[in-house]
Amino acid sequence: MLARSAVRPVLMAARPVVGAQQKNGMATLKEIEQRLKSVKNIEKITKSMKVVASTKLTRAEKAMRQAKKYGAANEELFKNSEIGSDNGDAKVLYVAISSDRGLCGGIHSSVTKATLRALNANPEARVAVLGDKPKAQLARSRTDDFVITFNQIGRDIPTFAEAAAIADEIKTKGGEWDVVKIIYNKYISAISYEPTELVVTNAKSLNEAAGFKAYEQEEDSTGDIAEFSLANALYLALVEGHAAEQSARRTAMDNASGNAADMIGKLNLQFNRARQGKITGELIEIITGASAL
Amino acid sequence: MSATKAAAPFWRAAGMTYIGYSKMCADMVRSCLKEPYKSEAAEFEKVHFSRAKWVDGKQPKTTICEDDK
Repeated sequence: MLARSAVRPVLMAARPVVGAQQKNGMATLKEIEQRLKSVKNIEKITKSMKVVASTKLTRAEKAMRQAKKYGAANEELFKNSEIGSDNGDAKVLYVAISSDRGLCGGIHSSVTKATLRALNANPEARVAVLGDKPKAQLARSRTDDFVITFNQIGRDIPTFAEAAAIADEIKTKGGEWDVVKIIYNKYISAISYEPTELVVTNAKSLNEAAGFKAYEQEEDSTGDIAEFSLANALYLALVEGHAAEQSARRTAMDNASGNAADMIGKLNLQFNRARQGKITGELIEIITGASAL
Repeated sequence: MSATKAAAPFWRAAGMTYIGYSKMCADMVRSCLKEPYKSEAAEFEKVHFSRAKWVDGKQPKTTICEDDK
């Protein structure tokens, strides 16, 4: 008894005196009741988190549909200007976009994995990270490649002003880059997402691109359009990543509630069985006692 | 054409980026709205995040970037 209490002091403290009498490897009634209560609480929490995520998801989806237009404008520009495929020695900055909050399935690690793959393929590249979770995951091996990190973003639906401010920060403090590749979670449907790359080139390669000359403009506004397209792409990635995160959180919390419900069922069964067993035991004791008289 | 040529340099000369300039213009337009729409549009202006610049695998300090108004 002494040895056991030394190994499991917490459990022993929680165990009532009655429990000590009827242990034979089985959990006691009191223990089952306590677990049942805590699992029920967890289920309540995950359920309400799911409801919150669902509400946020509707708003995020709406914002995303609007943000897609920004992305489409970008895409058209890059498509029409026919930018040549990457030359090997371009300086690349990867921007991994995710968020600060957990409890949303594999959304952060999918971005992290895609970023790591890209970094391994291109050892000269550096990385900018948005969000605490991917930052923590990438920081295990890649702190030397970090240029700039952002956090406390994406709590609510990201605004264009935020995307613009981040683009400005990357431009002014993040150094000079030929190509910026944004890695984010593309929202495919309410249950699936996929890490995707958005490519933004700088003014120089825009000027060199074959199709870009078809646009009638002044010489110095190329830098402006490059800047603006970076903000555009960041905005799309932030908003779409946000929607993907909310949907992933909804699914994760849905699964957690389901698992909790399963567990509650099992524990209830176990609890009832144990209670019935106890009653039967007591009855047998009384009857044998009475017949012995 | 001459109008745009004359107009283009002044914000660039002041050291503003194109994004900064366009943000300022957008804020100006929003501030001209009437009340129910004004506070609605103000939602689009809010900026909040923090930033850390990394040097040689270390993170010297973080800066909170908020609406600079």
